[in-house]
Amino acid sequence: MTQPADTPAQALAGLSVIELSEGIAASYAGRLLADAGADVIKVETPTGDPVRSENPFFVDDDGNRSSALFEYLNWSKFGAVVDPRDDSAILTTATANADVLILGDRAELVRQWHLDLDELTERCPDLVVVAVTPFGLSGPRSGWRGTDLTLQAASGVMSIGGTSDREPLKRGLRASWYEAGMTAAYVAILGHFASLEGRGGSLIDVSVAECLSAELVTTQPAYSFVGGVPGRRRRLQDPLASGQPLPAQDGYVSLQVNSLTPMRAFSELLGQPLLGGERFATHEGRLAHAEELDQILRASLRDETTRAFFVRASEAGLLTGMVQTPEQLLSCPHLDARSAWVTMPGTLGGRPWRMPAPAGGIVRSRAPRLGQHDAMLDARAAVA
Amino acid sequence: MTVRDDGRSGPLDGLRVVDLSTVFAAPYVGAILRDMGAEVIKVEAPNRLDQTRGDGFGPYLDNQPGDDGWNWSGTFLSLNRGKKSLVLDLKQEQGRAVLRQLIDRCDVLLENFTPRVMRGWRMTWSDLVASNPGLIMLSNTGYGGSGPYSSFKAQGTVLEATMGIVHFCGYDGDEPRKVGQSYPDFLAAWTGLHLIASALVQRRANGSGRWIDLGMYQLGSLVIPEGLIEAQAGRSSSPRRGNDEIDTLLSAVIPCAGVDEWIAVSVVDDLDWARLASLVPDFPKLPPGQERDPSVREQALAALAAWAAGIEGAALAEDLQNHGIAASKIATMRDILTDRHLRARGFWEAVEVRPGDRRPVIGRAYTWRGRSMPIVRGRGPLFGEQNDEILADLGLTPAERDSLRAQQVVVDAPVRIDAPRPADVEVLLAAGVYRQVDPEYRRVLTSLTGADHGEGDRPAPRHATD
Repeated sequence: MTQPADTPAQALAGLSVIELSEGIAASYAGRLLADAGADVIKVETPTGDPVRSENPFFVDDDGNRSSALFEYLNWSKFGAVVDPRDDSAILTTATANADVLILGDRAELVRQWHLDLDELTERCPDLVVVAVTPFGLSGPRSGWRGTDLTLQAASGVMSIGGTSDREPLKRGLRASWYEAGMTAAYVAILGHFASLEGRGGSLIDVSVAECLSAELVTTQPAYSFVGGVPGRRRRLQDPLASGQPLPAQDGYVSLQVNSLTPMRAFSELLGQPLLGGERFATHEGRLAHAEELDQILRASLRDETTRAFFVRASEAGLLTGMVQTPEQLLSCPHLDARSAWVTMPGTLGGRPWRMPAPAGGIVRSRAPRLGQHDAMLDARAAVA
Repeated sequence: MTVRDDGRSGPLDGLRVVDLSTVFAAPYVGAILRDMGAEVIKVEAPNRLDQTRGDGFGPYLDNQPGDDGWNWSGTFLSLNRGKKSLVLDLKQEQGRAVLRQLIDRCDVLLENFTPRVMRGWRMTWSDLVASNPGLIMLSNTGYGGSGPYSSFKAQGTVLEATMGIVHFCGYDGDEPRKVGQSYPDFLAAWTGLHLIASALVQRRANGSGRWIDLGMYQLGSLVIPEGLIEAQAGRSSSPRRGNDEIDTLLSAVIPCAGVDEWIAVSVVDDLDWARLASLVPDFPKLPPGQERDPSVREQALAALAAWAAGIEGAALAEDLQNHGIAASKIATMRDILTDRHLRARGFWEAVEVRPGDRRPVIGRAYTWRGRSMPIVRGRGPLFGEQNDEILADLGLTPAERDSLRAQQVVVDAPVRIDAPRPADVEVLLAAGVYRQVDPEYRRVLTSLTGADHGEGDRPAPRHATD
């Protein structure tokens, strides 16, 4: 990857960030800022972020066990402990001296620090405050609880997930929180930029559910322009428009046509003249003959191996994908060539392990131990 | 919902963006930069429309494309809100010369060509910084500018599988299934925005620009860290588990009153379990730690289903949330458009598509309070709408502009484009792409935007022949 002399790892050098968070979204946002060179102090309560106790654990060179996910979400940060019941005065001063304050992932966790965010942003006119909570800090649902499933449900994205013969289907794992973390990171940096430009600070209230709803920017016009309420597709559909994976010999592949790569290109590649017929040439035609199309595609792909097919079709200029497992991603030659991974400390499951590398490629330090850098927070609070 | 004008100061006021990109991810980056106050000039090709201007995306305003449907596509207007449009033939030397002038005067360049295109035009970042050292350039490609897959074509639809996301999506034990619409594009949009933002901060400090080589493929890993960790820890559990969350005791989607209406419920911990047991008849009461037993799970789900049957989803969710349990109706597009909460937060913004005809567009996922703030600053541009304005701004005289038009370097209407066709709504309904067409949509929009759509409850034409 070509890089100019100044790498992304130093873009935010000197930026002072305080992160008051537990969970994934705000922690990930703070980490993205740390990846770009910001000095991020993660402040936890004495009991610590529950992710610290989340399985599985890795073993470092000194034999200490810690949560793999916590390490990934919090590398390159400093750590301090504050008991919100005792004394939040240190936070009042330290946040006032920071450039960016990030809070999350739940409304009650934001409130537990007894920081009046309105008052804080008024008192510190250049400070950028970003809160990430399931439904945002304002509005009738601001007190609602959210989990990955229920946030996807509320956002509208699940109304188009799954097939019409079954219940709506969520996206896997906990993607919603990571997406919210990405959003929180970009608004924090844009807010800081505006502040540097003399436009003042800001109070930015991110809703995780809205991060997902924002994905509907391409489906929403169906309603506002023709009244169409998007739904779940039939089980048998037009896989060349939807990208629905199709079984091959050792896994699944996906195919896509558009105005530049028409259906007959796949017909030629698969040596299946039936696919090049008029009835499959348009989306409407493929929908009308979905069952026949499904049979032909499954028969044509049955003997293909996924990676070989993916490479052959891609080299022929066609839009193709293959369903990859984590193991396949971790051994992908392209991702290796792109330096997409960073080696993590110690071992996981008895072996070395890797995770997605930060932009700029540099992890500056291990995730902090609970309260490891209390003195640094004291110093921040002491700056006049 | 209020219509806010373009007068409000934005966080990126004074910045200029040149946007060569098409379809979803990079155009959405441009749209948000525009919301933030930057001026965004979209450069379009004379004879190859941005796919979102055409059939298959759309839909055209009230499904009536008329003679210039490419100007009235909802997807295009939404993803390109507030931008200006200049139509330039970049296959001609003169077109590229005009582009170079534009790029020399811009702060951010967005493009999503396959890598060979910009190389062929000698417009890589290294070429361009020679005359604009502070240039920040986002190249949004499928696989990035290097590596063995670099020349492969890609769109989000198929990339989502390759990226590792689809492996974790599907009904319990079933085939992998793509969920949602072009998810990779949104991961690329948010990532592109944060990298551009940090490049802007860095440029303030040292004056130098940056090339952001954003290959979408490698973004998939960012939303599946749990899967990467589990695999390396040697405990590959079943990747596809339907709506059963990895970090709750019980989570499911169950039917409630109405046709195809559902509610999602998550029981996070023992306290939630006890709350539900006191609220829902026949919900198993258990000592902590036994909830994951399959027979218990079955009993719990049956009790929930019996309790939910016949009750409206929104009311159920409200009731559960009042008892401290995470729940939500599976919201449809109409639900979120009419949602009180989103309305209170200003999530929807209105743009005037045609005089007096305002339609809602998705704003952003946050409220933003400050002296400067983002807002949607108008509809997407008509094809070449600002041709003259932009060329004049570059200092081209009327005679020079005429000359560019005479050679079709600049055009004001697409060249050799098929006449746009309306969507066949019946086909979309039969396929489930639409679950219904709301005959009241204009009334709903009127109540949202305060605009008079003028034609009562008359539905949009459903056929090409209407």
